[in-house]
Amino acid sequence: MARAGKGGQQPPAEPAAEPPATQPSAAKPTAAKPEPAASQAEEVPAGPPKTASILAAARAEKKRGPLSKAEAGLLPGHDESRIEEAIPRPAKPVVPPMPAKPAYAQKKPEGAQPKVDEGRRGVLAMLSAMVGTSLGIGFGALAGTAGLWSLGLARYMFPNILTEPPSQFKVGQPSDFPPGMVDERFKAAFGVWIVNAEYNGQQMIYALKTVCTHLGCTPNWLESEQKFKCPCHGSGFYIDGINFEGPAPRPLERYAIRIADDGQLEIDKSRVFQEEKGEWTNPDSYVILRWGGAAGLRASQARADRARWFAASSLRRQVDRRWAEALR
Amino acid sequence: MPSIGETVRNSQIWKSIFRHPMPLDRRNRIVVMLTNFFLHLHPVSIKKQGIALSYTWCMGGVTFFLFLVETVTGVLLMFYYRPTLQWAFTDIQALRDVTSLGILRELHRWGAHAMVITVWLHMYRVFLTGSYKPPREFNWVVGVILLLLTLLLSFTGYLLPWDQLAIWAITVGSNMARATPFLGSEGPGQQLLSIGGIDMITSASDARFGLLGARFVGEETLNRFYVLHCIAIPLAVAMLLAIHFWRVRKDGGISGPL
Repeated sequence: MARAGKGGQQPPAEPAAEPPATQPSAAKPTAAKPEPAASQAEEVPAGPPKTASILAAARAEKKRGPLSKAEAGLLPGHDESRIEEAIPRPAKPVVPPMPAKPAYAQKKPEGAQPKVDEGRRGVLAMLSAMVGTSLGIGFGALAGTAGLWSLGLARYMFPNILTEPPSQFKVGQPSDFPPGMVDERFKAAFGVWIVNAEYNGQQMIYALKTVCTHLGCTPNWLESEQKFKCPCHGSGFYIDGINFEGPAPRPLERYAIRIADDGQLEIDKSRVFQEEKGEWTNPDSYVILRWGGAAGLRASQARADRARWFAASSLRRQVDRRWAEALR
Repeated sequence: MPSIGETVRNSQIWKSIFRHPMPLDRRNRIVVMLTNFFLHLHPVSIKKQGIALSYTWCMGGVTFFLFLVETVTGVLLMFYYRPTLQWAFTDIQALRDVTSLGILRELHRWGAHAMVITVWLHMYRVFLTGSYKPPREFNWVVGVILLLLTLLLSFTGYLLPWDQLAIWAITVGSNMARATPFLGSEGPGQQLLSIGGIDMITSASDARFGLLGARFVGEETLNRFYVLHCIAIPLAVAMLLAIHFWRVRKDGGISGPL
């Protein structure tokens, strides 16, 4: 149709291209269509659209945009050659001439640069921009605040209060732990075995931490095989805690143990002794009972106190020095 | 006599919600895609190879879909789950009876497994099609960070049922943090961060403690992982996803040349 061929804004009666009108008043656009199409037929050759046609288009309910090639192709009676014409292209706008360049944008003459060392000038200029200009101050304040906030956030993630069961607890009289015994009564609640066994030729009582040194599971004490065996990956430890099979890299750890004032054994979980660091020679990691009964208790306490005093005293350093000289 | 539909569509209420005519012709389709908040996340038109499954595998899209599924099912689970020692395990079990379908918890879990699988496949596809090459290198970096956050979501969510599997998995997994260089209480260089002879990095102040909130996996850890899993990490993922999609669009669209 001639009107469609002219690339009208509202192609008339296009049942193939458009679904049934969901826009209200199909009558209105059809009434408005002939007007813009007719006015377009008059003026299409050249020039900006007339006011009348713009108003007519605005009054129309349907706001149509340009036709795509597919839609133009679907119009009845189209032929390939008219598709290019069917696509309306906006008229080329009239471009005013470029204004003259202002003074600040003029190219500077070559010889006008000051003869200054570029590197130092650059740093100074940068520093002065950072603290001198309000932009620099503003962003500097932002960076400072962000840094402080990040530090505060990191500190926030570490609470000041830990809710943990007390690390020191009493487990009973030394006579409750006969030689050769691995006591599991405190394994579930406190995570510790109280063991009375021989280590380095000495019969002693020590407290083993129930955490496998491989990845942290809880081993089981196998009485018939006299070994600790971890169910997770099969690490095995002797009764003294030394690892001998499986992936465990080091022996079980000991907790500090001592005889309290009332004669009971007291475990302190806040101190840990590791054999591979040689810490099992520390007298705080075991209790030796050479005699039974109250006398034995006093004797072990006294011995432990003396050992502790000696280890820390200057007398020990003198003895060590004398031994070193003697052996040289 | 205008129909009801026409009266409604002419009303001011309708026009205030839907500002533009129905997208039934090309112009209005473009206009609606550009001006609708949800639809503008997609480009107006994409190239045909953008939807070719053999080109893209659609794994990125599937991963995003699973993320939305996880968010929705996760929020629904939050109505019936309490992250305390007393209730966590029981609530997860009870979800089977309390909720009407009975498989909401399973849906969340299967979705999590599927999302991890699809995110790896997506990464593999991007590698095979060379979609990491300049100028798309940084988008690859953003994608790797998203992968790590997905794995962290799985890690933190794993603890929430508070069963034996959960507790020991997190214990073993977090024990590794003790060996972090400088920031772990049993790692190399731990003594370097000491002020005046006092160790700054101890078992109560190292990276592992910051992750667990305590010196062992307990109630503090459950709460901390709950907040990380439900709020902190999803927010970070959402922000990075927005950047990830933006960069794909700006670099020529999905499966498109530059």
